[in-house]
Amino acid sequence: MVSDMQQLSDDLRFVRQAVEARRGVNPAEARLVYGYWALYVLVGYFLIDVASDAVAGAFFAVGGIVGGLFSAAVAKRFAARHGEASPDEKRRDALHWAVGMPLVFVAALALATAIPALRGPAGSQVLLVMIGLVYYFWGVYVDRNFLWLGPVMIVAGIAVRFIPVYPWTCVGVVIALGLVVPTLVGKKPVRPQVENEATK
Amino acid sequence: MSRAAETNLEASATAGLELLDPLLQHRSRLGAMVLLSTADALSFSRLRDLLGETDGNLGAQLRKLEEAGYLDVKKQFVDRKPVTWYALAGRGRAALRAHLAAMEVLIRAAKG
Repeated sequence: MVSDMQQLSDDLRFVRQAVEARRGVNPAEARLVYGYWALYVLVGYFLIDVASDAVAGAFFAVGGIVGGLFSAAVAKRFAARHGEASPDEKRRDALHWAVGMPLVFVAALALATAIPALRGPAGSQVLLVMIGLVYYFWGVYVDRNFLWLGPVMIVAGIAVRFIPVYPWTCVGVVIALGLVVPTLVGKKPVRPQVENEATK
Repeated sequence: MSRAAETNLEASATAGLELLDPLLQHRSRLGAMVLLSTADALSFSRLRDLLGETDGNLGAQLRKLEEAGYLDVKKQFVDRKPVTWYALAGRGRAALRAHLAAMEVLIRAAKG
Protein backbone atom coordinates (compact mmCIF):
# COMPACT_ATOMS: atom_id res chain seq x y z
CA MET A 1 0.00 0.00 0.00
CA VAL A 2 2.79 2.43 0.95
CA SER A 3 4.66 1.77 -2.29
CA ASP A 4 1.40 2.21 -4.24
CA MET A 5 0.89 5.59 -2.59
CA GLN A 6 4.48 6.57 -3.31
CA GLN A 7 4.04 5.55 -6.94
CA LEU A 8 0.84 7.57 -7.14
CA SER A 9 2.48 10.59 -5.62
CA ASP A 10 5.41 10.36 -8.08
CA ASP A 11 3.02 10.03 -10.99
CA LEU A 12 1.05 13.08 -9.88
CA ARG A 13 4.22 15.12 -9.57
CA PHE A 14 5.26 14.05 -13.07
CA VAL A 15 1.87 14.99 -14.51
CA ARG A 16 1.86 18.33 -12.70
CA GLN A 17 5.28 19.17 -14.13
CA ALA A 18 4.11 18.31 -17.64
CA VAL A 19 1.04 20.53 -17.29
CA GLU A 20 3.16 23.36 -15.88
CA ALA A 21 5.60 22.95 -18.77
CA ARG A 22 2.72 23.48 -21.19
CA ARG A 23 1.65 26.65 -19.40
CA GLY A 24 5.08 28.05 -18.62
CA VAL A 25 6.34 28.66 -22.15
CA ASN A 26 7.28 32.15 -23.27
CA PRO A 27 7.85 31.46 -26.94
CA ALA A 28 9.04 33.85 -29.60
CA GLU A 29 5.44 34.26 -30.76
CA ALA A 30 4.38 35.70 -27.38
CA ARG A 31 7.27 38.17 -27.49
CA LEU A 32 6.23 39.18 -31.00
CA VAL A 33 2.59 39.79 -30.00
CA TYR A 34 3.35 41.61 -26.73
CA GLY A 35 6.12 43.56 -28.51
CA TYR A 36 3.61 44.79 -31.07
CA TRP A 37 1.14 45.90 -28.42
CA ALA A 38 3.90 47.60 -26.42
CA LEU A 39 4.88 49.61 -29.50
CA TYR A 40 1.21 50.38 -30.18
CA VAL A 41 0.72 51.71 -26.64
CA LEU A 42 3.98 53.65 -26.73
CA VAL A 43 3.22 55.43 -30.03
CA GLY A 44 -0.50 55.88 -29.28
CA TYR A 45 -0.02 57.51 -25.89
CA PHE A 46 2.81 59.67 -27.23
CA LEU A 47 0.40 60.88 -29.92
CA ILE A 48 -2.13 61.93 -27.26
CA ASP A 49 0.52 64.30 -25.88
CA VAL A 50 1.84 65.70 -29.15
CA ALA A 51 -0.90 65.35 -31.76
CA SER A 52 -4.60 66.08 -32.06
CA ASP A 53 -7.23 63.76 -30.56
CA ALA A 54 -8.33 62.80 -34.07
CA VAL A 55 -4.83 61.62 -35.04
CA ALA A 56 -4.36 59.65 -31.80
CA GLY A 57 -7.86 58.18 -32.11
CA ALA A 58 -7.28 57.11 -35.71
CA PHE A 59 -3.98 55.51 -34.73
CA PHE A 60 -5.59 53.56 -31.88
CA ALA A 61 -8.46 52.39 -34.11
CA VAL A 62 -6.36 51.27 -37.09
CA GLY A 63 -3.51 49.93 -34.93
CA GLY A 64 -6.00 48.00 -32.80
CA ILE A 65 -7.58 46.25 -35.77
CA VAL A 66 -4.19 45.52 -37.37
CA GLY A 67 -2.91 44.26 -34.02
CA GLY A 68 -5.90 41.97 -33.55
CA LEU A 69 -5.40 40.41 -36.99
CA PHE A 70 -1.65 40.16 -36.41
CA SER A 71 -2.13 38.48 -33.02
CA ALA A 72 -4.60 35.97 -34.51
CA ALA A 73 -2.16 35.13 -37.33
CA VAL A 74 0.71 34.66 -34.87
CA ALA A 75 -1.47 32.44 -32.67
CA LYS A 76 -2.33 30.30 -35.71
CA ARG A 77 1.34 29.99 -36.55
CA PHE A 78 2.08 29.05 -32.93
CA ALA A 79 -0.52 26.28 -33.04
CA ALA A 80 0.96 24.80 -36.20
CA ARG A 81 4.56 25.10 -35.03
CA HIS A 82 4.10 23.85 -31.49
CA GLY A 83 1.51 21.18 -32.19
CA GLU A 84 -1.38 22.59 -30.20
CA ALA A 85 -4.92 23.00 -31.44
CA SER A 86 -7.31 24.60 -29.00
CA PRO A 87 -10.39 26.15 -30.62
CA ASP A 88 -11.89 26.61 -27.14
CA GLU A 89 -8.92 28.71 -26.04
CA LYS A 90 -9.08 30.67 -29.31
CA ARG A 91 -12.75 31.40 -28.70
CA ARG A 92 -12.02 32.52 -25.14
CA ASP A 93 -9.16 34.80 -26.31
CA ALA A 94 -11.34 36.31 -29.01
CA LEU A 95 -14.21 36.91 -26.59
CA HIS A 96 -11.87 38.55 -24.11
CA TRP A 97 -9.93 40.86 -26.44
CA ALA A 98 -11.82 41.21 -29.73
CA VAL A 99 -15.17 41.63 -27.98
CA GLY A 100 -14.04 42.95 -24.58
CA MET A 101 -11.98 45.88 -25.85
CA PRO A 102 -14.61 47.29 -28.26
CA LEU A 103 -17.15 46.93 -25.43
CA VAL A 104 -14.90 49.03 -23.22
CA PHE A 105 -14.69 51.72 -25.91
CA VAL A 106 -18.45 51.71 -26.41
CA ALA A 107 -19.00 51.88 -22.63
CA ALA A 108 -16.57 54.81 -22.28
CA LEU A 109 -18.21 56.59 -25.21
CA ALA A 110 -21.66 56.03 -23.71
CA LEU A 111 -20.49 57.40 -20.36
CA ALA A 112 -19.00 60.48 -22.05
CA THR A 113 -22.24 61.01 -23.95
CA ALA A 114 -24.34 60.79 -20.80
CA ILE A 115 -21.98 62.65 -18.46
CA PRO A 116 -20.38 65.79 -19.95
CA ALA A 117 -17.64 65.83 -17.27
CA LEU A 118 -16.31 62.58 -18.70
CA ARG A 119 -15.43 64.08 -22.09
CA GLY A 120 -11.89 64.97 -23.21
CA PRO A 121 -8.98 64.04 -20.92
CA ALA A 122 -11.28 62.65 -18.20
CA GLY A 123 -12.79 60.31 -20.80
CA SER A 124 -9.31 59.01 -21.67
CA GLN A 125 -8.69 58.38 -17.97
CA VAL A 126 -11.93 56.43 -17.64
CA LEU A 127 -11.00 54.43 -20.74
CA LEU A 128 -7.58 53.54 -19.33
CA VAL A 129 -9.09 52.44 -16.00
CA MET A 130 -11.56 50.19 -17.83
CA ILE A 131 -8.84 48.74 -20.06
CA GLY A 132 -6.91 48.07 -16.85
CA LEU A 133 -9.82 45.93 -15.69
CA VAL A 134 -9.78 43.98 -18.98
CA TYR A 135 -6.04 43.39 -18.47
CA TYR A 136 -6.60 42.33 -14.87
CA PHE A 137 -9.19 39.70 -15.84
CA TRP A 138 -6.75 38.35 -18.43
CA GLY A 139 -4.35 37.99 -15.53
CA VAL A 140 -6.94 36.17 -13.43
CA TYR A 141 -7.73 33.59 -16.10
CA VAL A 142 -4.72 33.33 -18.42
CA ASP A 143 -1.48 35.26 -17.97
CA ARG A 144 -0.34 35.95 -14.41
CA ASN A 145 1.77 38.94 -15.53
CA PHE A 146 -1.42 40.85 -16.19
CA LEU A 147 -2.48 40.46 -12.57
CA TRP A 148 -0.28 43.38 -11.64
CA LEU A 149 -0.25 45.20 -15.00
CA GLY A 150 -4.03 45.67 -14.87
CA PRO A 151 -4.01 47.41 -11.45
CA VAL A 152 -0.94 49.45 -12.55
CA MET A 153 -2.99 50.72 -15.50
CA ILE A 154 -5.89 51.58 -13.23
CA VAL A 155 -3.58 53.57 -10.94
CA ALA A 156 -1.95 55.21 -13.99
CA GLY A 157 -5.39 56.16 -15.30
CA ILE A 158 -6.06 58.05 -12.08
CA ALA A 159 -2.53 59.44 -11.57
CA VAL A 160 -1.97 60.66 -15.13
CA ARG A 161 -3.52 64.06 -14.42
CA PHE A 162 -0.85 64.71 -11.78
CA ILE A 163 2.10 64.12 -14.13
CA PRO A 164 3.31 67.57 -15.24
CA VAL A 165 5.04 66.81 -18.57
CA TYR A 166 4.17 64.27 -21.26
CA PRO A 167 1.75 62.52 -18.90
CA TRP A 168 0.34 60.04 -21.42
CA THR A 169 3.78 59.23 -22.80
CA CYS A 170 4.88 58.32 -19.27
CA VAL A 171 1.84 56.07 -18.89
CA GLY A 172 2.61 54.48 -22.28
CA VAL A 173 6.19 53.73 -21.22
CA VAL A 174 5.01 52.01 -18.02
CA ILE A 175 2.44 49.86 -19.86
CA ALA A 176 4.87 49.00 -22.67
CA LEU A 177 7.46 47.87 -20.13
CA GLY A 178 4.79 45.86 -18.33
CA LEU A 179 3.96 44.08 -21.57
CA VAL A 180 7.47 43.39 -22.79
CA VAL A 181 9.57 42.70 -19.71
CA PRO A 182 7.70 39.56 -18.47
CA THR A 183 8.09 37.91 -21.91
CA LEU A 184 11.85 38.49 -21.73
CA VAL A 185 12.36 37.20 -18.20
CA GLY A 186 9.66 34.49 -18.28
CA LYS A 187 10.31 31.15 -16.61
CA LYS A 188 11.69 28.37 -18.74
CA PRO A 189 9.38 25.39 -19.03
CA VAL A 190 9.85 22.68 -16.42
CA ARG A 191 10.71 19.30 -17.89
CA PRO A 192 9.26 16.30 -16.14
CA GLN A 193 11.88 13.94 -14.85
CA VAL A 194 11.52 10.51 -16.33
CA GLU A 195 12.62 7.82 -13.96
CA ASN A 196 12.98 4.13 -14.56
CA GLU A 197 9.49 3.46 -13.29
CA ALA A 198 8.11 5.49 -16.16
CA THR A 199 8.97 2.77 -18.62
CA LYS A 200 7.50 -0.08 -16.58
CA MET B 1 -7.65 6.51 15.70
CA SER B 2 -10.06 3.71 16.59
CA ARG B 3 -9.75 0.23 15.12
CA ALA B 4 -13.09 0.67 13.25
CA ALA B 5 -11.93 3.94 11.69
CA GLU B 6 -8.67 2.33 10.63
CA THR B 7 -10.58 -0.54 9.03
CA ASN B 8 -12.80 1.94 7.18
CA LEU B 9 -9.80 3.83 5.84
CA GLU B 10 -8.13 0.60 4.79
CA ALA B 11 -11.34 -0.45 3.02
CA SER B 12 -11.73 2.83 1.16
CA ALA B 13 -8.05 2.79 0.14
CA THR B 14 -8.44 -0.74 -1.18
CA ALA B 15 -11.60 0.29 -3.02
CA GLY B 16 -9.74 3.28 -4.48
CA LEU B 17 -6.92 1.06 -5.68
CA GLU B 18 -9.37 -1.31 -7.34
CA LEU B 19 -11.09 1.58 -9.11
CA LEU B 20 -7.85 2.81 -10.66
CA ASP B 21 -7.71 2.25 -14.40
CA PRO B 22 -4.78 -0.11 -15.08
CA LEU B 23 -4.08 1.65 -18.38
CA LEU B 24 -3.66 4.96 -16.61
CA GLN B 25 -1.37 3.65 -13.90
CA HIS B 26 1.55 4.50 -16.13
CA ARG B 27 2.81 8.04 -15.69
CA SER B 28 3.40 8.76 -19.38
CA ARG B 29 -0.06 7.53 -20.35
CA LEU B 30 -1.65 9.44 -17.47
CA GLY B 31 0.42 12.52 -18.34
CA ALA B 32 -0.64 12.35 -21.99
CA MET B 33 -4.30 11.97 -21.03
CA VAL B 34 -4.18 14.90 -18.59
CA LEU B 35 -2.38 17.11 -21.12
CA LEU B 36 -4.95 16.21 -23.77
CA SER B 37 -7.73 17.10 -21.37
CA THR B 38 -6.32 20.65 -21.24
CA ALA B 39 -6.26 21.12 -25.03
CA ASP B 40 -8.47 20.09 -27.89
CA ALA B 41 -5.61 18.34 -29.65
CA LEU B 42 -1.85 18.02 -29.29
CA SER B 43 0.66 16.78 -31.80
CA PHE B 44 2.90 13.80 -31.13
CA SER B 45 6.01 16.01 -30.96
CA ARG B 46 4.34 18.41 -28.52
CA LEU B 47 3.38 15.53 -26.21
CA ARG B 48 6.88 14.07 -26.51
CA ASP B 49 8.49 17.41 -25.56
CA LEU B 50 6.13 18.05 -22.65
CA LEU B 51 6.50 14.56 -21.23
CA GLY B 52 10.24 14.33 -21.89
CA GLU B 53 9.77 10.95 -23.56
CA THR B 54 11.54 9.26 -26.44
CA ASP B 55 9.68 8.78 -29.73
CA GLY B 56 9.64 5.01 -29.35
CA ASN B 57 8.37 4.89 -25.79
CA LEU B 58 5.71 7.56 -26.25
CA GLY B 59 4.55 5.95 -29.50
CA ALA B 60 4.09 2.63 -27.72
CA GLN B 61 2.19 4.19 -24.81
CA LEU B 62 -0.09 6.23 -27.06
CA ARG B 63 -0.84 3.17 -29.16
CA LYS B 64 -2.13 1.38 -26.06
CA LEU B 65 -4.44 4.30 -25.31
CA GLU B 66 -5.55 4.43 -28.93
CA GLU B 67 -6.31 0.70 -28.97
CA ALA B 68 -8.40 1.09 -25.83
CA GLY B 69 -10.46 3.75 -27.61
CA TYR B 70 -9.25 6.48 -25.27
CA LEU B 71 -7.73 8.63 -28.00
CA ASP B 72 -8.76 9.92 -31.40
CA VAL B 73 -5.86 10.10 -33.82
CA LYS B 74 -5.68 12.23 -36.91
CA LYS B 75 -2.79 12.51 -39.36
CA GLN B 76 -2.29 15.54 -41.55
CA PHE B 77 0.40 17.52 -43.32
CA VAL B 78 1.51 20.87 -41.88
CA ASP B 79 4.03 22.73 -44.04
CA ARG B 80 4.46 19.49 -46.04
CA LYS B 81 5.52 17.60 -42.90
CA PRO B 82 3.40 14.75 -41.50
CA VAL B 83 1.89 15.62 -38.12
CA THR B 84 -0.05 13.19 -35.92
CA TRP B 85 -2.68 14.85 -33.77
CA TYR B 86 -4.08 13.25 -30.65
CA ALA B 87 -7.32 14.20 -28.94
CA LEU B 88 -9.18 12.71 -26.00
CA ALA B 89 -12.08 10.51 -27.11
CA GLY B 90 -15.32 10.49 -25.11
CA ARG B 91 -14.42 7.11 -23.67
CA GLY B 92 -10.98 8.38 -22.68
CA ARG B 93 -12.43 11.43 -20.99
CA ALA B 94 -14.77 9.23 -18.93
CA ALA B 95 -11.91 6.87 -18.04
CA LEU B 96 -9.71 9.77 -16.97
CA ARG B 97 -12.49 11.22 -14.84
CA ALA B 98 -13.07 7.85 -13.12
CA HIS B 99 -9.33 7.34 -12.60
CA LEU B 100 -8.89 10.79 -11.05
CA ALA B 101 -11.90 10.16 -8.80
CA ALA B 102 -10.31 6.91 -7.62
CA MET B 103 -7.07 8.77 -6.94
CA GLU B 104 -9.00 11.28 -4.87
CA VAL B 105 -10.46 8.43 -2.79
CA LEU B 106 -6.94 7.11 -2.21
CA ILE B 107 -5.55 10.49 -1.27
CA ARG B 108 -8.41 11.10 1.15
CA ALA B 109 -7.80 7.68 2.67
CA ALA B 110 -4.08 8.38 2.97
CA LYS B 111 -4.77 11.70 4.71
CA GLY B 112 -6.99 9.88 7.17
